[in-house]
Amino acid sequence: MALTTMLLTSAYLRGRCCMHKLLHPSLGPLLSNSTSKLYSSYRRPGSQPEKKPSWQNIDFSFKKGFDVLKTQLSMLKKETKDYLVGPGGHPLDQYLLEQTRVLWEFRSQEDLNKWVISSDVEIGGKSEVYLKLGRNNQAALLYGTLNTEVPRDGETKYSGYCSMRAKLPMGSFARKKYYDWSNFNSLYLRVRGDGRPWMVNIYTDPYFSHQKDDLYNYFMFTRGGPYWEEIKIPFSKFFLSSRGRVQDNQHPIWLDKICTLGFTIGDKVDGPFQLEIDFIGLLNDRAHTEEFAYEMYEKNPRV
Amino acid sequence: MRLHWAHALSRRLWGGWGPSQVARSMSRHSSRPAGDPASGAPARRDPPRDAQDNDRGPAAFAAALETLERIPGRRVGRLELVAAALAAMPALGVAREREAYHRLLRLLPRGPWVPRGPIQRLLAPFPQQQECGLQILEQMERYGVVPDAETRFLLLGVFGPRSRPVRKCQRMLYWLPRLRHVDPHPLPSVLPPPGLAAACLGLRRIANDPDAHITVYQRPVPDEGDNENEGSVQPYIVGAQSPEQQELLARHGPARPVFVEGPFSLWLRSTQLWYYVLRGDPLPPHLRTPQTPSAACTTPCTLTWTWSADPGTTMTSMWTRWRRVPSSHCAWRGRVTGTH
Repeated sequence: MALTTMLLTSAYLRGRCCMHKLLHPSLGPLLSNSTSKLYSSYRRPGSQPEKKPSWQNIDFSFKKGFDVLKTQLSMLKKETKDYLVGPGGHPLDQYLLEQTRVLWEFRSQEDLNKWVISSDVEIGGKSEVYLKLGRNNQAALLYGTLNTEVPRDGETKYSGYCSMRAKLPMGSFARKKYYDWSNFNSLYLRVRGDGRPWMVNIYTDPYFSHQKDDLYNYFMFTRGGPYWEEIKIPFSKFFLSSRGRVQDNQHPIWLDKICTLGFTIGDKVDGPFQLEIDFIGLLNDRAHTEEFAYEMYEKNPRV
Repeated sequence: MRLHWAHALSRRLWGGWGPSQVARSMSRHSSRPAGDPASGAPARRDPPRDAQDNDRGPAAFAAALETLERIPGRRVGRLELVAAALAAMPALGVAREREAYHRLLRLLPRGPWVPRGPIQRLLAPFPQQQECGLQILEQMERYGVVPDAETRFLLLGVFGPRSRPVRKCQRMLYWLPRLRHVDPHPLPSVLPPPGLAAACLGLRRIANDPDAHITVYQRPVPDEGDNENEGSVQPYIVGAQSPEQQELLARHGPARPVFVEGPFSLWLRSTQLWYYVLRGDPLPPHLRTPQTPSAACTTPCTLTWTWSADPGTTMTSMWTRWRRVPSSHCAWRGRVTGTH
């Protein structure tokens, strides 16, 4: 059993290089609470660096190891069955002919547990964010307060953001799994906001570690009001950014290895915000023929 | 070393103010609230007389820079001046004016900070100066000021081609004009102040129907001289109702209750409004009239294939899931909005 725990944690540590900001749900209970800082490589200015070696945080307990092994084996069994049914666990004709797919629907607490919320409290800010089920369990309600007060650590210049990200799709035994969205060309969201602009971020786990901060972003403008909005965002509109800076060399997003989807609010306005999401889906819009929305000419030519 | 006599001498010989004095006066203007004459202890060096009169924001900024523009003086302290000016601009109210940034850029020396030759360019020349230029552009980006061809020209003169500020300016010139028009439901560029006009704008935005009527109930101004109420806005109630909502209300039986819900928040850029909704519960399924697809449907017709071998295929069941029954509102819009 100790071997199992060690294998699992070594798989986690190996995979950590490309997922420095994202949580591992299956291995969370295995490690103690103090290792939440391990998940992110950001160290707050003025805080002490970690002195404890990572292997000391592993909990070598037989009972926990046995439980984890049971869950992993059942996940493996389910994966084998899905593999036999067809790609992605659905029959082949569905994969070939589908034009719409519902990815995340918010009807119960376990749907909410697939998402992680965060705010600028990580860097010392004062924004708050909460996630709960909306009225009649028909939608997820992401609400909170944005506070743009800059933390006084001498390094940070801006503050005030809140975000909600989907947890990474994990296979059995902490293997990385990816979403394959190559059949579709738009994101379809049914939301009800309060008029504040949001940003949709997509993380495609890159092969090279120096691209680990690459995100594809686009805006989601909510109108506000009691009516639900159905927002279509084509993937051709997503632009590439790294560490929050829009890059010069742009390319359309590759849809075959998507890891996470996230929503962020950071519109520099202090005050409460609210977003209700009914479902998030994909659409293959045949009328949308654009491949990429941004011209690819040299943005910084030799002057 | 405090060379007061050197500063005084330079001032006397060449006139005007050096950059350090301008920076100090800028920080003083921004910390002093507008319209408050000579608050706090008098300064050791008196500010110029014209700055005392123009204590409002843009005029104070212009006055602070004007002396230095007229008589450039020695080429020292420009970085501190730029840092102080950038810190003071939001308080003085000129942070969204491109012309203010141009004035600041014209104060920087043109030529001395341009690297000469490829070897100097290789060694990351003038790092603090380039960082200063980047800070100006960063503040422009933060306040949504789109740079001009003139901004690029000024930066080229100060930092030379292939420098970081010029690269950043070119990047901003590519992205910002595109990202300005990304909002599918844009608000007018100048919003009305919070009040009746803002409420009407908010309601028109919420109503989602160009045929909606907005009704304003306002108490009339009293004829008798009630001195404290004179000049103030009388209390009002604003409401919006579309023809569809009127129909629904007409069909609503008096035996079933209607609910007033709220307040819900609506943001118009940086103003928060609160609104209330009058709604009724949806009818039970056997009493509902079948809904016809709206004529103003903007979704393109999708081709749904059904596999002949399997009549109850998952495709149609997935499609029907999206046409859901209105749960809690008077009128449900099946129309797709917000196509980006």
